[in-house]
Amino acid sequence: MSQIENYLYTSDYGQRIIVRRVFLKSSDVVFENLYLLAELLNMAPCYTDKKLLSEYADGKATFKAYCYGGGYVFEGRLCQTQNKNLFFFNNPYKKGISIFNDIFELGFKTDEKGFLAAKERALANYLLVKKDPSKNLEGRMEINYAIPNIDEKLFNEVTYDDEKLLLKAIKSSTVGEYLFLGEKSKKDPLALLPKYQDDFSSLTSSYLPSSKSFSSADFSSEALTYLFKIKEIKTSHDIEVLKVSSDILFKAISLSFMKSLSTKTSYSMHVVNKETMALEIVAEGSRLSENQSYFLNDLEKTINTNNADLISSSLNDYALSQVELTIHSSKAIEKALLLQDLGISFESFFKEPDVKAEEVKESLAGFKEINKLTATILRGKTND
Amino acid sequence: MIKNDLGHLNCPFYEQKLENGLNVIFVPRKSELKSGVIYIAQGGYPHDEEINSSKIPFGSAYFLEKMIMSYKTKNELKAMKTNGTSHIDFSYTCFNVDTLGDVFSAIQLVLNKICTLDFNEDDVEKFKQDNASFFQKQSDDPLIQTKKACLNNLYFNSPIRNGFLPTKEQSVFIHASSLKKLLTKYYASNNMTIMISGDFTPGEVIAKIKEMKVPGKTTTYSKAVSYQEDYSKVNHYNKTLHLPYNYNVMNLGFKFPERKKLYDDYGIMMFESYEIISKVLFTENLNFLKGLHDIKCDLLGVSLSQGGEDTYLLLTMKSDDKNTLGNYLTDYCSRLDKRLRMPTIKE
Repeated sequence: MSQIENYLYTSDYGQRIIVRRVFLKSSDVVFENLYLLAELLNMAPCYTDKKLLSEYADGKATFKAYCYGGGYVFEGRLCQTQNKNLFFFNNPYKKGISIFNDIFELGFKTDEKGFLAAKERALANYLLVKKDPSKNLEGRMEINYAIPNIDEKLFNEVTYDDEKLLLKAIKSSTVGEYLFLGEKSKKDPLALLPKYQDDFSSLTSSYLPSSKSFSSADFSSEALTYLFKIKEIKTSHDIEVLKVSSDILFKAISLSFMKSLSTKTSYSMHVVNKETMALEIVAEGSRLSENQSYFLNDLEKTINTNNADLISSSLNDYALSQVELTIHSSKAIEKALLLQDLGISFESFFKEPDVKAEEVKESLAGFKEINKLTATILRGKTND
Repeated sequence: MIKNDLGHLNCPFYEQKLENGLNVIFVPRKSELKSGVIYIAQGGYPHDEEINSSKIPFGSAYFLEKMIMSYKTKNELKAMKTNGTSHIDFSYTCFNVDTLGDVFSAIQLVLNKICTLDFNEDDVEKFKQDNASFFQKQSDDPLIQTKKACLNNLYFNSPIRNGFLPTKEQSVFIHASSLKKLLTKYYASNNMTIMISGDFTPGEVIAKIKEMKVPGKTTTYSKAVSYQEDYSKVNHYNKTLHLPYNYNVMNLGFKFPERKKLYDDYGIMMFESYEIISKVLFTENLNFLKGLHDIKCDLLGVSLSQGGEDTYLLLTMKSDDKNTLGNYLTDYCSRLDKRLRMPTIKE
């Protein structure tokens, strides 16, 4: 088992972020309950401190739930401003962690009206996910970090007591992971948080998502997702090469879409595990379903990834993404969580060696399609 | 460069005005990232009816910003592994560059675009075509229409009531020649500040900036926009628009007294308070938000904008029951001074 790193020391963002992830088996919890709990904690967190969390270095705690390694993860993030010169009389970080712990222990405080309001908000958020073909497909495949399909009837029946029981299940979970991003301090910033017996290193390695193509009348655009077997990821540089390779592949596919069907596309890439990657392409309108046979039979033949301009453009885009990594803490957290998931060290986090065109070509040659799925617009009725 | 410090915040910055009028600000930062900003002290607020005998069409400042930070410029910056962005408000225009490489070369590239007037009529026309739907939206979008209607309720004549983004019809009148006149008047060293942030010394920064080619000051003749505004009252108190939209939207606007009067009465610190006023009264005021939540309303946005002598605060809210929301806002806003709590302000 590889050693997971939990500390990413940097003062670049002026922020201090702690991510706490708790793994829960799908047999032990109902996702509908988990999804609502995250909304309840976001809306009405309960803690003993009389002061608001925001009074401690502008603290904010946010919660979310998603699929992970065949089960679910409940995630909490504590974000505070990091500037020691702002605070004289107390340690806002110690207080912040204490409140963060309290929320995991005490849960939420709300009356029936607030409980219903949280349900309404959570459902409204979910409906946006459901209407997005790419996110909907991700959820059906239960890819890591995706929101799975929610049974709306079941969701509406979730009770106050269900949520209290779920909170107990989260507290008793033995699998969890922490991430700290911020300036290095004398004391361990994670010392005041409860320890977990096991970390996430064994969860994703063997998990492979599965699903079928489907249609829905709720969509206004359509998605095409490829699952590729890739050369095993061993270092963080391999991930960077993979990012550039998938960008080139997307641009080549996008050109084919535009040339043949005059359709604009966008994409996202997900590392499923060390040997599998998902490339999700979203196409505007309904041209994908109208030309299904073309896409299934001929699209691959028209894709040309060995184009010097495409490679150069993707390498430039990659260089810009490195700039964005140093600007946005959310991007750093996203990268750090992926490295944690794959058990890779943070050693070269901000100083990745340049990606070379030869490496990209080699990576692209190693892509082997495992599956291809579509989420298309259904005419006339909803199939859900 | 002269060192300044924001009290105890441990955030020193250095400032120097060069002989050509260019102001330079440097913020030291221990980071791989280097950032630069070219700040032009002129935004979308139309100060000039004519420059050098040419009419300046509405929306010219927005077009000029996009001509400088064009796709072409962004691609050239990208080749230098630099992220280029730009932003315009009523009172300023900003060109930003972020890079892990040479920030001074990136700044020079943008300055060259200004010095060489690197755009022509074809570029302007192409920009109009590529963004036709955006300009159309300025006149058709119900949310934008309600905001504009609210501003027209606030002001009698001030140009601020029209915003600064042109509609499709207004964009037709914009041409490269008028943009170049606007550029000549305002995109000059004496109207410009360059800000640099990165792991440098003040000496290094000032030496590099002095080597740069910057646009010089040019004499122009202009006819200022003139208008009469009554700051003691609003044009109309309310107006209802029946527009096709998914839900009901209510805008509430506050018209501030003219800036000159505010400065005379309260001094420069009055304008510092603009940084926090919308937060302490609305967006981060828990009482206000709870009250809205209780009557099932959502706050969609709050904006404080200023240009020329005018300043307004605009709240946009979603509600199914305009009467309940109206009553709530009347009640809340009738004693705004009582809504402020010292701890909230300190926060």
